Amino acid sequence: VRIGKTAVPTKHEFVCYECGYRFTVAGKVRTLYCAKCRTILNQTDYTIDKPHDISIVTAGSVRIAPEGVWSNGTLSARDVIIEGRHESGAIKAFRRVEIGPGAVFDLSVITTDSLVLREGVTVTTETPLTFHDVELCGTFNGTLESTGLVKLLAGSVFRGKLKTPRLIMEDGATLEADVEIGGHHETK
Amino acid sequence: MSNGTGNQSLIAADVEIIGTIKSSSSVRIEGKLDGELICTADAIIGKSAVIKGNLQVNSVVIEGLIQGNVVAKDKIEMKSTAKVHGDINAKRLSVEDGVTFIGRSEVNPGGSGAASAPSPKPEAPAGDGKPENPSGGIFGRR
Repeated sequence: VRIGKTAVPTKHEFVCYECGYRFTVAGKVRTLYCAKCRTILNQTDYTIDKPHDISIVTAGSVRIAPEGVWSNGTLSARDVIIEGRHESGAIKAFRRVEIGPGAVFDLSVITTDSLVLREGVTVTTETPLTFHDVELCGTFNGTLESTGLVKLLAGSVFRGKLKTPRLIMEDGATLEADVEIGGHHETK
Repeated sequence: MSNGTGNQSLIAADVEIIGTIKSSSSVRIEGKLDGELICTADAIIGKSAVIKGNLQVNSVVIEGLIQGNVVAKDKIEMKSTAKVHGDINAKRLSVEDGVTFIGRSEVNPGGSGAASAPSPKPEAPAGDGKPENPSGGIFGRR
């Protein structure tokens, strides 16, 4: 007798860029409909590896490669990875924005739930920033307010002011800040 | 009070101390302390512990409530049940999810502030987004 596990297709999370509804799809589908508003969604993943100034709206991901330049237009996607230059135009990521070293970006025009600053990235800002979740592997100098979870991974550096309901800090991270951690103002 | 398992001193949950505790061996506090703890070894502040006063220790594991400043030569470890109202200063800090901490943190594993800042890395000010060094880098590393 052979007892095996049933193969279950991988589930993918999508957010409708028309109505904002979150839903999951098991496996791959040729045509992706929003489960709520029935809009046919573009699920293409894009890689920008040269100057680009046309808006992109997708339920997939967009990666601005190190040689890529986002010079104008609106970028709306599930995940956005910035490794190149973001010169102007708003970026909206329904799930997360990941910033790699060498990237040129303006955090004040980025709207996202979850922000990831990779190793080697340094952000210095005087404008207070607010995100839901933040994962820090690089350096952050400024004021950050989170409504969810802040993760300071080993080797990361945070200086300034930090207000968050939840903090996870790995051994080896640097925290020189006025800190307010507590579960009294978690939202969402 | 010694727990009999070594050199660790134990302040049990039903004990309340008003005054300063000085110890050269490790201390575990489960009770209440209204005063300072000066310990050249390691300290454990248990889940039921309530401390109103400052701590000076080599390293400390915090599971209970502290209202005061914590200075550790080596490491502060905040467990998920920890509540700290005061400033902390240590070489290393680890924080679990669920901790409450309100105060100023000075934690720098590299020693001084300048030593830990990665100066040759590109810096991207959030205001204007102009890079100091826009030339790529090692990507894909997390």
